[in-house]
Formats: sequence, structure tokens, C-alpha cells
Amino acid sequence: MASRRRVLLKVIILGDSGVGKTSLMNQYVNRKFSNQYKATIGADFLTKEVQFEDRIFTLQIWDTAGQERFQSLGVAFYRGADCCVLVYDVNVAKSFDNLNNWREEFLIQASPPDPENFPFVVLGNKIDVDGGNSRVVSEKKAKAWCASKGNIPYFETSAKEGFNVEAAFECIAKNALKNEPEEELYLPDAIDMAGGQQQRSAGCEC
Amino acid sequence: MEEAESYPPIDPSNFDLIVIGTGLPESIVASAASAAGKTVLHLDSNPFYGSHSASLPLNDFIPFIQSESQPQSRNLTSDDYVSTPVATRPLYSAVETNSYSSEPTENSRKFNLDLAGPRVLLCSDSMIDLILKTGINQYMEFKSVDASFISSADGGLENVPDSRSAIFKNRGLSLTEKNQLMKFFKLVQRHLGDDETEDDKISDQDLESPFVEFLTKIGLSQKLKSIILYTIVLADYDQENLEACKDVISTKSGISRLALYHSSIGRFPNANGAIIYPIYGQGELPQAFCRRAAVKGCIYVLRMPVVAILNDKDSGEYKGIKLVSGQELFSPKLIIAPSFTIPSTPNHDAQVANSDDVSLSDTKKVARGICITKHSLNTQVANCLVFFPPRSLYLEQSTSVRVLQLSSNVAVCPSGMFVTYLSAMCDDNVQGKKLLNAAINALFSVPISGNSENSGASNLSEHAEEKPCLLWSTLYIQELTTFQGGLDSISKTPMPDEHLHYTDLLDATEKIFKEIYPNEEFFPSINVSNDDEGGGSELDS
Amino acid sequence: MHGRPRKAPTDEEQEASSNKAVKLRDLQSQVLQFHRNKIYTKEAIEISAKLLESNPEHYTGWNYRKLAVEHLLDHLPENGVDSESIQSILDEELRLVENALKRNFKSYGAWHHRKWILSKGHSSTDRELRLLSKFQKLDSRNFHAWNYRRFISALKKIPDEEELQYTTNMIYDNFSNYSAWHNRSVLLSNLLEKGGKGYDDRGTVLGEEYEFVRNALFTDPDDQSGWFYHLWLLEQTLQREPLFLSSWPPNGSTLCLSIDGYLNSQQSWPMLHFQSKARTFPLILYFSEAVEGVSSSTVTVESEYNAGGDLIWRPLSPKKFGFSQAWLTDLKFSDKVHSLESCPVKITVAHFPGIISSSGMPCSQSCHLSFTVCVPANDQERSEVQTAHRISLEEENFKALATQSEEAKLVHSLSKLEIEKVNRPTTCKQSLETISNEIAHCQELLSSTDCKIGKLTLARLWMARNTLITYGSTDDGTEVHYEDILALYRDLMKMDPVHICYYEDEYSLALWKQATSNLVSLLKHCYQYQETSSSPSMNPSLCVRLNGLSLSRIGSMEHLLWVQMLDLSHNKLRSIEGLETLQLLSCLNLSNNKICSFTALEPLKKLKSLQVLDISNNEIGAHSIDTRRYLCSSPLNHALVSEWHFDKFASDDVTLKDHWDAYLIFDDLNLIQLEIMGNAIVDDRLRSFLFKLMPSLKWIDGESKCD
Repeated sequence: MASRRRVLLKVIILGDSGVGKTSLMNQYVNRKFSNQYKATIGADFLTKEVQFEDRIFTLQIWDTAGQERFQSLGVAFYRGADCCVLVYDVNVAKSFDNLNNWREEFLIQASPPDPENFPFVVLGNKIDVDGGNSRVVSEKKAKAWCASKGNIPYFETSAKEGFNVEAAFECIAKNALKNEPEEELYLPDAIDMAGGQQQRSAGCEC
Repeated sequence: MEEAESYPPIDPSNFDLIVIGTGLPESIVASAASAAGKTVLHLDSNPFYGSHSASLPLNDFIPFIQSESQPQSRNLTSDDYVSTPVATRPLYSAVETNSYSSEPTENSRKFNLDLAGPRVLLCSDSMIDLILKTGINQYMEFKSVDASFISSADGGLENVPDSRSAIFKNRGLSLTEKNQLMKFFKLVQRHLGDDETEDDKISDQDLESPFVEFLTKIGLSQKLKSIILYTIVLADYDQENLEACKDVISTKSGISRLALYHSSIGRFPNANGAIIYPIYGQGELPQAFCRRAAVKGCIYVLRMPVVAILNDKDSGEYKGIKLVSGQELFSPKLIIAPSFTIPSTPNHDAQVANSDDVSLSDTKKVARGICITKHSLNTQVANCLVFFPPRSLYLEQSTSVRVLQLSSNVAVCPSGMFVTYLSAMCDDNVQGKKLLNAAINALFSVPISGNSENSGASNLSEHAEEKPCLLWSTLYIQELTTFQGGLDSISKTPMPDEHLHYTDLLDATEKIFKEIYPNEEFFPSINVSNDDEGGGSELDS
Repeated sequence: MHGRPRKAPTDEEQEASSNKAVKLRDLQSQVLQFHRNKIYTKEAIEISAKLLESNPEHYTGWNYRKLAVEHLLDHLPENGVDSESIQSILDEELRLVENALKRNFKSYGAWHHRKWILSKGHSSTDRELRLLSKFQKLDSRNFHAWNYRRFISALKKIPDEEELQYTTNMIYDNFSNYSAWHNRSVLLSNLLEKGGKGYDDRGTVLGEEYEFVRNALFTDPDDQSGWFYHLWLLEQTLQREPLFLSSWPPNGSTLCLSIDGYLNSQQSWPMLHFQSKARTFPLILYFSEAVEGVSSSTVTVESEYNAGGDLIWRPLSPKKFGFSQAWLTDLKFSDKVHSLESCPVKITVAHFPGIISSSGMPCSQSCHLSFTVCVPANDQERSEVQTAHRISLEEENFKALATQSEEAKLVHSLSKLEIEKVNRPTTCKQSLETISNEIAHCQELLSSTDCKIGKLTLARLWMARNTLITYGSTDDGTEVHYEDILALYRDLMKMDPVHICYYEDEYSLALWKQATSNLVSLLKHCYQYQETSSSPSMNPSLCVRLNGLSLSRIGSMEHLLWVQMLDLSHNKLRSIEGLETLQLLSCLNLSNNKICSFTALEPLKKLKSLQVLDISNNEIGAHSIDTRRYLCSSPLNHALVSEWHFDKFASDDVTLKDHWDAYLIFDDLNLIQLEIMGNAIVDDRLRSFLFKLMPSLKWIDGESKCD
């Protein structure tokens, strides 16, 4: 759960299994790609520092850890997201059709205060496959859907080639920033457990 | 209803471990097994995580505790195996709800009500250690419980003097009592210290004796004893009445609990006291463990009831399960949630079956209650604990009533409201309700007419100096079950227990894990994954 | 840092630190150059920042910075002089200070610089307070932070009440916070002085504070912070005016001035004798505590035959410059006064407020005292100068006083402090009540906890109670038995041997009080001394003996101003401060004590009447490093230098290096008899030097000059 400190932005990536969510994350943060599909074993969340104007932010990108496979993401996953990325595979029609479900599921679970204006970003991934020949969802169709849902920014990407990934996440970061917390639930002073194992040292008495 | 659902097929169909129910013990076991490299399938019939440990929106709360699932009637047969239908039995009873205002229900989704409240965490307890060890603190946030109170003789609430500064500030203790209490804390510290001489140690004889006797021996006043026994050591039963007491706390145990409490104070830099609570409710814990399990490869399927257990036709051994979708899945081991009943079959191990048919008199119960109000019990604090030691509410009160008030700053209710949990051990429903109602009447002002919303509204002209007025309340009795270990490959996890903490539950869970996987470590220390191929190392800040 | 074991640095560490040192020296020399040449360019300023961030102790660096800031401010462009540009210059400084403080939180230079910036008035004091809160969360006891907090509060004009609440919160957080308690005492002092709403009733305010701190004392009696605050509260409660206690000559006496007489002749009240060739006699005024302002404008002496002119009052025990408990002046009677005339003298003390104690309280109580002086007939006839005889000070020569004897009556009269008080001071009933209350609580605490500070506090409380009772008008006999107080101190000496010297001193004070303030006990210490071996024509003398009592310190002299012969042998005295008050002292026995240097005898320099001194068997010269040797008014003090005639006595044997301290002390004395053996420093050289130094000296250690 991302803390609501201003400098930390929580981004979640939604989409059907296998559309390339983890690969996109890895490509953006680590500039790595692996052909092995391990059904996201081990992917939890990655962080990256981004600079915007003259401020530095930490982007915390949350992977679904495979729980999306049977639509079994818990409400905790959605909480506190500053931006939601919807990913589909341009070569798999069903994955595009499900975007709507994912979007709605997010709005129900996360209950953002201003659902109309919550920042989504849509990524059409795997445009590299077969030189683009196995593509079944056209850019036009995708853009139309995005426009109809409040002008959601749209990017066509290839995690494998690293195409457009940087640009997409820059846009994601910018959008996440827009959503500065006016949340009713501003939760200040949450306990910091990171240093929890250390003893508090006694101060010098002079 | 089930006909309309389409259930997805699960692939693969063989797993090392199948876990049914996403309650906290089940989630911990699933997570531990995944961490040990086992392939795990984790199912829950509900559309949410947490099962009996979940936190739910207001309007979903009562239906859950009142639900009794229907035994499945279809897809029960199997060609290759003996298929034994499973059913769940209700573990909650005597549910009573009163609604005095529509405001709570109108904001249902802003509530996260714990099914197994009140429950908190001590900063040094084993659950926190596990949370830190597994790294799931990254999935959660916590806030301090600002204060603890004990009911005083005149019906008010007094701060619990649990630390040096609390003793100093306390208005309810006499000067001599302050001196005595602090001396006692120091005595315990010296006893537990490593480099102290023999003289500082408490004798073995004293250690074995009941804590209440030791406290009397060193001259603590009645008030101080009560504070130590019921608000710090958290005893349930009346310790003074040693014959009738079902759980006498020894000095040794009392001292270690005291030490645990004190080491919790100041463990984390901006935690005020010893006690913390997870933001969004206790239901965050099972979700966090499940996520960790998922990260390690565990497969999650919600909304998937299990209808039958499959046994081998010849040996009668457990083989697998049958889902409502008809699919059969197999594993050498199975973990099931406490509400499951498995009727006995011929070759079935009698012990597992019999354990479900316990006679009522042996069943332990805990009475639970939830109240929603618009004002805090104490204007200085938002989140607090309140204790009613035995005999403080009425003479025959034989168990302690624990109360936890939470505010919107832990995201369990809408802004401006407060949620208060109550619990007490009881022998039967009547006794349980009596205990809770006594506490409720002591703390709150109950509107006169019950469900009528009109009169409820007029009663809501708040006299904030007076007791807070109830907007909504519920009482119910929860059965306590014990776990059953790995007999015949099937283990059953326990229901949330009667305590404020998770320590016993965690112990039982670890035991289950050790029984099914005696050679595996329960959550080995995290090392950076050298699994570079998938780029799936758990890198984070 | 405290508590870190020192480890020898490794080679790498040494190399790293010497590299660092080189860099630092480089920076330092650069900055010094900029400073000298008044270079204030951007680069220069940045370099100074680097220096100060790595070495915040570089004092000159901060000075340079200040000059640079002034320079920048002066050189702001005409149209650019607005608060924003000023602010940005100052903000830069604040940022630098913050970085410096991160390096060394306790750097005086850094804090001072910050104060300097804030004084310029353009910076946000709110932000400073927030910063302070952060600092104080990290370390609530850092006195720099508290100091700075006081500065900001004053700047921001935060009312003291608010700051008081802040200390309350800090104390609630952790009552071990000594600094918070201290700040509280500072604020309350101000508030009580100003008076105003809620703070006009001192007793109530202090009462609440007692209650507040009592919680700390009971919760953790071993924590010192609360006890220190409690001590401050007691001081506030016991604060009272200085009182004029006693005098010599005593009220109602008749003083006979005489020219001859070795030891004064038999005295019988009210006749007292004083030998003075010059017809002067000392007038001593003794107060309850050190005061200043005793002068001829605050004390009037009315007498017909005063030799005229303003009297010069001298303080007799200058611990704090100009303050003293005892004040002395010499009254001279003119030659015109003929024999057998009695001249009444009337003294009025403090008829203007003008005599003020060191804590600022004025002596507003006016007193009169009067005595008579008579000058007997010119005793030229009794020309026979009495030969001095050596006094042997042997035990057999002392005889206890019979209760109804003349001497006893004399003592009785001399020791009564009867002074006509015009405005009787009222013992603050509230103070007495408060003290009694605190005594009760202290005893309650001690009944369950054996706590040494508690015991010390109880002893102090009992002493304070006795003082309040004796000096107040209520002498209701409810004084605490001194035996109980002495028992407490003996306990403490066992419980807390680290501080044994302190306890011995307090014990001595209590014992002294016990011995001298009560007539019955005083009489027990008065003896008749008669030299059995000498001619019976020598009158027996009255001697006060306070020997063998383990005294480490000398107490209050108010009952002893009249003493001429004093035996303090066989005690533990390291210092004899207080003896300078006894202007009549002619014979003093300090043998078998712990005096370890001549300079410790400095108080004797004021005793003009001293003739017999026994300092045998002490420890003068026993230690090669005599730590007390230099604890004296500097021999280079300009008042003394003019009188420095050491050269007269220098010889091959006697050098300045070896004997300056003996010279310093004995030059002023006119001893006839000196016992000095049993001290390591004594040798023939010293003896012969002393004979030369003091012409009147007849015997040293029983050997006469001629031997």
C-alpha cells in the first residue's frame, strides 16, 4: 500500500494475463526483457525516480502478481492508486474487450473521489509480434474507445523492443501527478516500520 | 444462481497444496508454502479475501455472518474417486442488529468492519515480526492506538499507566501507587536483564505461582493489580477467583507479556504507545499474505466454492477436491477453513470427522459486538482501547470485556464517525450478550426506540459531554474452534480466537505448517532472488 | 561522543583523515585570505560555505560570512532592494547553518550565526519554531536548542504562558527532561516577577508546581531532573530578606577600652574589655546571608564622641565581590574623651532600604542597637607591661563551666541575639506550611524507597525549617532535632561515598548550628582556661571548644562574635573560611586538622588581635602538588603589590619561590606564639624566616627566638 506522501506515486497495471504487464514494467524500470513467460512469478512492485519540472518523485509501479488470472485481485491492490494503466495485447481481441471490465472493476474497488477524471492510460502492447501482421485490434478502434472514456491517453508499445515504453510511462507519471491527493482520507503520520528493528539510541546528555 | 455463473477451468490440475478459504491462517500457510517453493492453489467461495478474518463494508457484514451456505446439489459425483460432499456450518449465532440512523448504511462502502474484532497488534509481537520478516509491511500501513483506558470505580474511564510517562501523567493513581507501579516495572526489567545478579531474579517458586499472587505478595494495591492483569497482560478470566478461573496466568507468563508490552513501546519511531492497528482494517493482513503468496507463484481463485472431497476408492486416502464447476483438482495435502464440515465416510479417518461433532458444552465462545457512533468515547483520542475487568460492570462478571474504538483516520469508517468493537469470552449466548450489553450501556447512550429512524434522528442531538449516542450496533456470538493437524493429509485452521492479539493464532498456524511440511522452514529469510530470467526480482526501495 | 571505546585508527583511516585535514587546511587558508582581503565574490562565498559545512567550528569563517552578508546587503541594486532579495540572501545563510548543524548539532558558531540572521528581522520565526520542534524531537535535551528557543520566543514575543505550556508538554512526554524543567524555572521566575493574571499569588503558583514535580519524584525517585527542580522550588519558597542578626559589641553591653592587658581581664556582663592603644575598637555587624550596601548611608552610628568623618565599612568575608555576611568598621574615640565617661552609642541599621542580599532581596527591617563605651582612667600607672607567657593549651588546663558561674551568665548574655527590631519580619506562614508539607511527602517517599537524593532533600528541608523558625518570630520550639539531621547525613556518607566531602561539610554546618545556636549546648562547649603552671594572677579565660567533632567546615558565627579563645583542634578542617569574622580572637587552636597550605589560612590575615596560633599537625606541605595552594587572592593583586616587601627577608636560604605563601599570610599577623610542628613543610629555614617576619613573635614550637 503506497503511503499518501506527496513524493510517492502509486501506479497499478491492469489487464488480462499474458498481455505483457510485467514485461512493460521491467522494460521501463530495468530496461530488460525476457522471453520466458513465468506467469509473473516474483514480480511485486518496482520503483523508479522521475523528475518533473524541478521536483523528484518516486513512481511505485505495482504488478498484479498473477492474481488477475482469475479476477482475484483484492481491494487492497487498488487502494490509493494515483494512476491506472490498462494494458491489452493488440493480437488478442478478448484482451481488448476486457479493458472495459478492468476499468469498471477499478472504479468500483478503488472508489476514487472523482471517477470521471481519474487518470487512466491505455497501452496496446506487443505490436512487434510477427511484424505487426497478427494484429487484430486496430489503432483506430483502440483510440476511439479511449476517447469515449474521457480521452484516455493511448500508446502503442512493444516491451520486447522497448518501443514507446519510456514515453508511455512519462505520460503515466504526469497523469499520476495531476491526481494530487484531495482524498478525503488523508492519512498523515503512518508508522514507519522500515527502521523498526533498530533500537532507539539514547541521546547524549550534554 | 449457480447455473448462470461460468466457472473458469484451472490449469494445472495438480498442486503440492490446495488451500480452501482465505482467512488469515490459511493465507499465512499458503504464503509459507509458496515461499518454500511448493505449488499452491488457494480458493475461496467469497468474492473477497479474508473469510472470517476479513473487513467488510457495512451492508455486507450482517449477511456474511448470517449466511449458511447451501450444500451443493450438483456435480457431486466422481467417476474415479469417492466423492464426499462438503458443507459449511455457521460459526456465528444469535446475531442481533439495531439501526438507529440511516447514515451508516448510506455510507456502507466507506466502512471496513472487522469480522473478528476487536484486534490489535503490539509492536513487538510475533505477528509484527513476521510482517517485517516477510516484507509485507510494504503492503500495509499502521497507526497508533493513542491510549488505553480502564473503567474506574465511578464509571468513568481512566488512562492506563503503562509506561513511565503515562504513570507520571496519570491522575487516578495515588503518589504511592505511582511509586509502587514504577518500582514493579523496574523489578521486571531487572529480572529479565542479562547482566543482573542473582539477587535481581525472581525466584523459581514465585515464577510458577499465579501472577495475581505474586503481585499481591509484592504489595501492589488492588487497583494496580487490576491494571496489570487486565490491560497489559490481557487476562480474560477473573484471576482473583482461582478455582473458577479457566485460565490462570502464571507469574512467568505474566512477566513475559509485560516485557512484550514494554518492548513494544517506542519500537517504531512515530508510534506513540505499544499498540498499533492496520489502516483499512484487519482484513488487510490476509490480503497482504495472499499477495506475497501470489508473488511466489500461488494461484488465486475467488468465487470458487468447493463441493466435495475426493478419496481413493481403495485406500480411502485423500486425493483431491471437486469444484462447483465440476473440475477435479489433486494434491497430496489439503488445508480447509474452520467452517467446513466433512461428514464421515467409511474409510475416512474417524478423528477428523469426530472433531466436528463436539458437544456443545465443550465449545468455547466469544461474544462480539460493533457499535457505530458520531462522537469519541474520549475527546482527546481518536483510537483507543477500553477494558472492563471482571466484576467492574456487575458482580457476576467473570470475564474481562475488551473494547476498541477506531476513527476514520484508520480508514475504517466515514469521516466524523467512530467504530467500536467489543468482545468477551462467554459460556453461552445469554451470558455473552449480557456482558456486551453491560459494556455498551456503560459507554454509550442507547436511543430508546429501536429501529425507528425518526426517533433515532431526534435522539441524535448529541450531548457530546455525555456518552456518545449509538447510530448502529450489532451483537453476535462466534464459536471458537481449534485447529486439527495434518491427519490424513487434511488440516483445518482455527477460527479467529478470543484474544486481542494474533500470537496464539500465529502459533497454531505455524504448527499446522510444521506438521504438513516438517522439513521446511517457516518463511526462510528473504534473500534477493537470483531469478534473473523473468526479471522478477523483488526490487524495491 | 560519549561511551565509544577508542580504537587505534587503521592505516587507511589515518590516510583518509590526513587527506581530509589537508583539504580542510586548504579551505581554511583560502577563507582567511578572502577575509583579510575583504573578498566577497560568489566563488569566495561558496568556498566559505564548503569550509563551514565541514568544519562548523571555524569561528573566523562565520565572521567572514557575516561580513559577506553585510556586503551583499549593502550592494543590492537600487531597485532590487525588496524583502525578497534580502530574504534570499538570508535564506542562503540559514540553509548553510542547517547543513552545518547537521554536521555538528552543538556548534556554537552555527547557532550564533543563526541568531544573528534572525535578528535582522526578515526571516520567518514560525519556521524557526518548526525547525526547533524537529530538533527537540530528536534530542529533547540539547541545551543549544533550548537556548535558541528562548531567543526566538523573545523575538517573536511569545507569551511566557505559552512557553510554559510547551515545557509542560515536553515534561509529560518524558519527565527526565532536565532542560524542560530548567526552562520552566526561568519562565516562572519571569512570570512571578511580573505578576499579572494567575501569577500574583506566589504561594499558589509554587504549590501547583510542587504538586506537579511530586509526581516525577514519586514515579521515579532516582531521576535527578525532578529533584533539581524541586530544589529550585525550595529556593523560591525560602527566599527571604536578609536579616541583621548580631553585632559586636553586643546590644546593651558596656565596652571598656583599655590600653594594656595581654588576655582580657575577667569580664562580667555587661562589662566587656577591649585592649586598644589607639582607642579604636571594631564594630561588627553580622547578617543572615551575604549582603552588600553596608555603608555610612545605610548604617548610622550616633555617638557624641565619635572621632568624626564618615565611617568606612569593610566586608569581612568577600566570597562574592562586595558581598559579605559580616561587616566591619572601626570606631575611634577621640582623645578628648576623658576617663570614666560613658558614651552611649546608638546604631541604626538599614533605615533606608539599601542593604541588599546577593539574590537581590533588600533588608527592609530596621534595627537599633546600643551599647556604652567607657574609657577608663589613663592607666599610665599600671605601666608594667604584662609579660606574655607561653600558653601550653594542655588538656588539663581546661575546665568545664559551672552552670551558674559568672562565665556561664556571661555566655548567656553574649549569645542572646537581642536586637531591637523596628519592623518585625513575619515568618511567612505559607513558607513554613509549604516546608512542613514537603517534609511530610519526603518522609512518605522515604518510607518505601531508600533514595539518597530524597534523604538529602529531607535533611535540607529540616535545616530550612529550623532556620525559618529561628529567624522568624515564631519560636514555638518545634525545631527539628539536629540529631535527626546529623543521622541523615551520616547515612548519606555511607550510602554515597562519592560525595562524602559534600556531606561532611553539610554535617559540619548542622553540627555547628546545633552546638552554637542553643544556649544549653553552647555552654557545654565553653570552658575556663587557666594556665596551671603559670602565675595565678593570670585570670582564667573563657574558651569555646569545638574540638574533636569531625568538622570539615566552619559554620555560622552569629552567636560567636565575642569569642577570644577558640579551640578547633582535632577536626577535619580543610578551610577556615568564616574565622575572619572573629575580630576579637586572640588565641586559636587549629592543630590536628587537614589544612594543607598556608594560603588556606588567609582568613587569619584579618584577625588583628590574634596572638597565639597553633597549626601543628596539619598537612601543610604534605602533598607535592598542593591543590589548595593557589586558591587565594592573587599575590599579584594590585592591592597587595604595593605592600610587597619580600626583598627585605630574602636571603640565600629564604627564596620567594619557597616562601611566598608564608610571607603572604604571616606578614599581616602579630603573633606572639606559634605552634607549627608536625607539618611537612616546616624546617629551620622557615622558622628563622618567620622570626624575622614577625618581630613580636617569641616562640615557635616552644623554642624561643634566641635558641
